[in-house]
Amino acid sequence: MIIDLDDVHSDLTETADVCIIGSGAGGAAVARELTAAGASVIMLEEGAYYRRADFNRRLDHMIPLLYRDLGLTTALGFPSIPVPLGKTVGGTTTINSGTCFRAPRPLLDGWERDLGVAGVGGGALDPYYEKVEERLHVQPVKEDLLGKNAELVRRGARALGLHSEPLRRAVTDNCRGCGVCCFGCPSDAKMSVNLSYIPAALERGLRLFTRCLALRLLVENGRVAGVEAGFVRRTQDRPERFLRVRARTVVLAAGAIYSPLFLLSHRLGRARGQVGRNLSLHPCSRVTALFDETVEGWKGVPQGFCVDTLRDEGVMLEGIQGPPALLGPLLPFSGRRYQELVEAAPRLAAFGVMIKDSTRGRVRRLPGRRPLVTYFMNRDDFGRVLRGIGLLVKIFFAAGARKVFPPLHSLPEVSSPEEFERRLDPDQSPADLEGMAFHPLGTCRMGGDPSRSVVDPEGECRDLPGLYVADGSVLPSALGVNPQMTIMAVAARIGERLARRGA
Amino acid sequence: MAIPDGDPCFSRSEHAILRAFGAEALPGGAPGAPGAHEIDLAPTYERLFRAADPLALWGMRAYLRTIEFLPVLLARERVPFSRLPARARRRFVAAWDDSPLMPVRLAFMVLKATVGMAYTSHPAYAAAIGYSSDCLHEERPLGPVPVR
Ligand SMILES: Cc1cc2nc3c(=O)[nH]c(=O)nc-3n(C[C@H](O)[C@H](O)[C@H](O)COP(=O)(O)OP(=O)(O)OC[C@H]3O[C@@H](n4cnc5c(N)ncnc54)[C@H](O)[C@@H]3O)c2cc1C
Ligand code: SF4
Repeated sequence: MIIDLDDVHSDLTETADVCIIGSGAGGAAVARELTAAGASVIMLEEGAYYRRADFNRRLDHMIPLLYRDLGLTTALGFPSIPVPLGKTVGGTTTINSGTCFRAPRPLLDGWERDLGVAGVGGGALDPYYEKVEERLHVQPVKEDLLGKNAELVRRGARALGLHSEPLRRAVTDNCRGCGVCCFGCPSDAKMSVNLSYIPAALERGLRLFTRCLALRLLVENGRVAGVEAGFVRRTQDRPERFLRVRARTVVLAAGAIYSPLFLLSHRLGRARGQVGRNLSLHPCSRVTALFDETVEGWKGVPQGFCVDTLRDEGVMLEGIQGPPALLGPLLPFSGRRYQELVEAAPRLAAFGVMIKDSTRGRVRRLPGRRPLVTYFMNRDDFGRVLRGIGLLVKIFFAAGARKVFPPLHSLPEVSSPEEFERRLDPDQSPADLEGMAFHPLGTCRMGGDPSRSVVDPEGECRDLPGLYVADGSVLPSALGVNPQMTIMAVAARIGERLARRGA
Repeated sequence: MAIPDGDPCFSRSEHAILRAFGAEALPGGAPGAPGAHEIDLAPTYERLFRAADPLALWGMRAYLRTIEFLPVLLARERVPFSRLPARARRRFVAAWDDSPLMPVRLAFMVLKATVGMAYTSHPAYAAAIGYSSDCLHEERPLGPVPVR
C-alpha cells in the first residue's frame, strides 16, 4: 500500500513492528527481508514515487523531481565537492548509474579483524551479495550498448597495454543505451530499488508513506517507541499533516549525510562524539577529450566500462558520459571558447576518475534540517586523483584525441601527454581540482569498539535500544569501488537478523 | 519560507542579470547554435529554483544582486553588470573565471553551471548539435518489470 501526501486529509496514527526511515539502497533491503519474514513494516520516504512515465529524459525537468536540493549538496573544503543525493522512492539508486561491485574480500576481512565488525569477513557476506545480485539482475554490460565513448577508451587502453573491461550493472535486457540512467530510467531497465526491492516488499504488505519526512523519534523508558513524521511537499516546508508511527524497532536509512543529521538532531551519540565523523566520499573527477571523429558519447550506457589497472592503488577509471546537459555545464572556459566546446559536444568523450580516499570529513548540523558537510582533501588523495587524471590523459591521446581537458584550474587544456607532464605542478593545492563525489559513507560507522563506533555489528545504535541504522553511513571505511551492493548486502544482513529476533 | 505557488522565484531584473551573464558565458555565434541570451531560459531557472531549498534560492538572488552592483564599485564604467558595454562585461567575467581564489572561482562555476545546464537542456541546443535521447536501440514496447 502506498500513501502519498495527496491521499492524506487528517493526521494519522499507525502501528507496525518496524518503521524504516528512507527508501534507498539500505532501507529497501531491510524492508524486503522483514516483509519476507512476515513482519509488519512501515516505510517513510521524504521524496515522491515517480514512474517510467514521469522520466522524460530532460535533465532540467528530472533534477528538481529526483535530486535533493538540485543535486547541489556540497562538502565544503579545498576543493569544495558537490555530493548529489537522490530524494525519491528508491533513494539515490533511482538516479545512480547502476554499476555493481562487491567490496574487495581483504577489506571486509579487515573490517572484521581490525574494527570488530563481526559477520562480514571470511566470505560471510557472500550469500547476501549473491541474493542482491540475483534480485538486481546484475550482469556485464553488453558490447552493443557500450557506445563510442567506451570504444575510444578501450582503444587507448589497449594501445598502452592497460586492462579494461565492461562493468557489471543492475539492469535487465530492456536497456537501450539511452544514456540517462542518472535521471530516471525511462525503460524500466535499470534495477534501482524502486523497481526491484520496493515492489516486492509492497506485495508482502509494506506500507509506504511518500512525501513523508521523519521528524523525530518517539522514546519511552529509554527505548525507541516509534517515529513522528510530517507530510511535506518540500523539505523545508511546514508539514501539512502529521503521522505518528508506533513501532518497537526503528531502522534509520536516510543515507550517509541525513542519517547522522537525524541522530545529531536527537543529541544521540554526543558522548562518544562519533556521529557525523569519518565521512569518506570516493572523490571523483572527469577528463574530457576532443576528437576529430564523431563520438556522440550520449549514445550508450554512460557508465558501462572501466580501466582498473590502478585499482590496487585505489584509483578506478569508470565511464561518466551522459547527455550533453550533463557534460556542458562542467566544460572549461567561458565566452567564445566555452561556446565552441559546448557546440563540439558530438566530438567530445569523457571518462571519470574515482579514488579510495583516506581523507575523512564530517557532517554537522545546521538549523532547519540542513547539514554542514566539510571535507578537506589531503595531499595523498589529491596525488591519487592526479595519477588517475594523468592516465586518462594518456589513454585519450593514445586513442587519437586532438585536445584533452583535465579538470584542473591551472591546466584546463593540453595538446599532448608530454605537455600535461611538463606543465603539471606537483605542488599544486588540491583546491585546483574540480571534483565531485557520489558515494558518501561512514558517518555512523559500525564497529566492535563502543568508543569508536556509532552502531554495533548488528546495526543497533549504541545510545538508543531499538534504533538501528542500515545505509551507507554504517560502512566503516571507503571501499574503492561503487558501494550500492555492499550497502544492500550489509542492510539485508541487518534486516535478516532483526527478522530472526522477531522484530 | 518556500515561494508560494504562482509567484516567480526571480524578479524581472534578476532574470535580466541571468540573461546578461548568459550572453557572456554562451554568446552563440556558430551556425545553428543560438546564444544563451537568444533563447528563453527563464522558465528553466524558475523550474529549477522552485524545487530548491529556499535558502539556496535566497542565496542565489543575493548573489545575482551582488554581481549586478560589483561593477559599480570595481569597473571603470561604474554601471551595473547588466548594463555594462559588451567588452567591459567580457573583461569582468574573464577576471572572475580566472580568479586565483578558489571561493571566487566556485561562485563563478555555480552560475556558469546553472546557465550552462539550462542552455544545454534546451531543445534549441539539442537540435543544433543533433542530440536525441532515442539512442542506440529502437524504442520497443516494454513488458512488466521482472521482479525476482
Ligand atoms: C549520480 C550518482 C550515481 C551513482 N552511481 C552509482 C553506481 O553506479 N553504483 C553504485 O554502487 N553506487 C552509485 N551511486 C551511489 C549509490 O546510489 C548510493 O551509495 C546508495 O544509493 C546510498 O544508499 P543509502 O541507503 O545510504 O541512501 P539513499 O539511497 O540516498 O537513500 C536515502 C533515502 O532516505 C530519504 N530520507 C532522508 N531523510 C529522510 C527523512 N528524514 N524522512 C524520510 N526519508 C528520508 C531520502 O529521500 C532518500 O530517498 C551513485 C550516486 C549518485 C548520486
Ligand atoms: S542506458 Fe539503459 S539503464 Fe540507462 S537509462 Fe537508458 S535504458 Fe535505462
